[in-house]
Amino acid sequence: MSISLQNIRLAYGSRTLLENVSADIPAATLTAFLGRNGTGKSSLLRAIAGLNKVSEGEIRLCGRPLAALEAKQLAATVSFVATDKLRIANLTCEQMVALGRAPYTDWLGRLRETDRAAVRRALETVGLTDYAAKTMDTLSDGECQRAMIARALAQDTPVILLDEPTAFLDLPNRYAMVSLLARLARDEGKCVLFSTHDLEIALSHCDAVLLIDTPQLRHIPASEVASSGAIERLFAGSGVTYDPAAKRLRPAER
Amino acid sequence: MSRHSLLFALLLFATVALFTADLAVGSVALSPGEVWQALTGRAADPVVHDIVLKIRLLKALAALLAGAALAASGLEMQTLFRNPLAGPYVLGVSSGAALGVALFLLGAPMLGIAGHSLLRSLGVVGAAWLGSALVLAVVLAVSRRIKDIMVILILGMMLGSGIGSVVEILQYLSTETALKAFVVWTMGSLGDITAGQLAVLLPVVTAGLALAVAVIKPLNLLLLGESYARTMGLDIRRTRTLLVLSTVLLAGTVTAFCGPIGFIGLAVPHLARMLFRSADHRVLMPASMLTGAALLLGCDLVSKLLALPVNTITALTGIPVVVIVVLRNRSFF
Repeated sequence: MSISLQNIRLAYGSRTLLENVSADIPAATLTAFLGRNGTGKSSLLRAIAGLNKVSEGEIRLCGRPLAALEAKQLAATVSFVATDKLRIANLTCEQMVALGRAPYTDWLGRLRETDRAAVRRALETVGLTDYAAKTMDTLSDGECQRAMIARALAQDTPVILLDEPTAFLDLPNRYAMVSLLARLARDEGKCVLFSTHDLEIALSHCDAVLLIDTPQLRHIPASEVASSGAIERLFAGSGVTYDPAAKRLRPAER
Repeated sequence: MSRHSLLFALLLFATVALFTADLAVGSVALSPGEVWQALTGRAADPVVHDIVLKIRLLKALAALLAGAALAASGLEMQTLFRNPLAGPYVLGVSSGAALGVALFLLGAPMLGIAGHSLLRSLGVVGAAWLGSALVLAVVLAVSRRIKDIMVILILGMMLGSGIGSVVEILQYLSTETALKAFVVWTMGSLGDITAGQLAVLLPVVTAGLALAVAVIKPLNLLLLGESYARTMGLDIRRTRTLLVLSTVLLAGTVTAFCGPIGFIGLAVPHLARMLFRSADHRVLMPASMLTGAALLLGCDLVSKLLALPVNTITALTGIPVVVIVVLRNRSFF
């Protein structure tokens, strides 16, 4: 299993977000991470990335406990794409992607031919080859997000985590983004886990959903999502309702 | 030749030229020939020999080292705090050093060690290190909890002002001779450097600059913020320790010997960014060091020609750069 959560308890201050939850996410799958605001999606993602600690339980990455991995090993196992926009003046798209090679370069961060090849391939995969020399402050939101994903690809990790990669994007770009992630999972064999509020786009592309039903965590294959009733429960009493037949949300009938 | 190599060659040339000019200019008019003879140890007049080797050379070397040191520490702090307006002066690191020096200089007579010149210069340096390290630790601790850069800046300024008031109280309470020693120090002078002080300044600043070079890759990763840097394998605790150590060695030591010199640390990294149009610290770090050295040598030259404190010249040179940075409002982090 690429990501294995075992008896995790996650708390924010004194509030318990997740209690004794377990899930296994295999390689070469695209998993959408769903849940209402404030239910702990970002906290759990950051914990899997090694940035936060969980209160109890164990996270295993590619068969090894996360806590036992050294900083460099962890960086070669999991990469992370956060929500912050990095519009750095003077930093080219290519330099940004090359930073992803950090776990493999020397003390000064010099690129060898293998590193350059990885950067070129990452830029090509996300379709930013022509933008290599552009600086980050001149990219659009969608291009910026793709550059950050290329950086994660250059990091060459079996697991890629993304925190709301479709936020700030317009509708065509959201579809493009999620189908890019699906390609990474299927063609490159990556285990891709991304949090999102774009239910319909996520369901149309992903292999499974991970869903926070406080304080439980449910891992449901995409084919069973409609019949599971989990989405209806997610939005119960919220003014919207899920139509399993049409795979879409609509205003709740009064 | 690439644009970067050309710029580096030009900067190097400017530094050498300004260093030479700094040796040639002073209150006593000497011809370039006389200066050269003194440097090569063939001066006819022992007074000329002393002026060139014991005053001008020491001062020029001090300006070279101090400029490079302040600029490198400014770049380190701007990236560490991801704040274009950070610098040793703004964040109160120089004030911390000043407090340390004030406590030592104004308190040393009570300890009865004011007379020993070696003890005195070691004491001044040690006190400046402690003071700057303390302030940096406080600012870092706060910035861990508060992410808002304006709050950190305001806090640094308030800390600096608060320390300034404490220093004033100390001045008010101190004896006349101790007060004079301290006031002379605050003038921010490169001129009073002795060979003994340079013997401390040179190795310590070299160590600080070496540390600054050693953190080039971590600084590049920190451009994306701490979270990203950690997921790319950066040991954040070790990096922060190295950065603080380097800054204290650089800014603390320079402040101890040359007094508070403002705006070099804040403005020079921006000059380097403007010149080289790069965010890569492999370019920015050496570029800042060279630009800092050249700029402080230039400021020293002007201050000698106009007979003004070097502090005022660095401020007048640095302020326009900072104003441009604020007005252009580009994001560097």
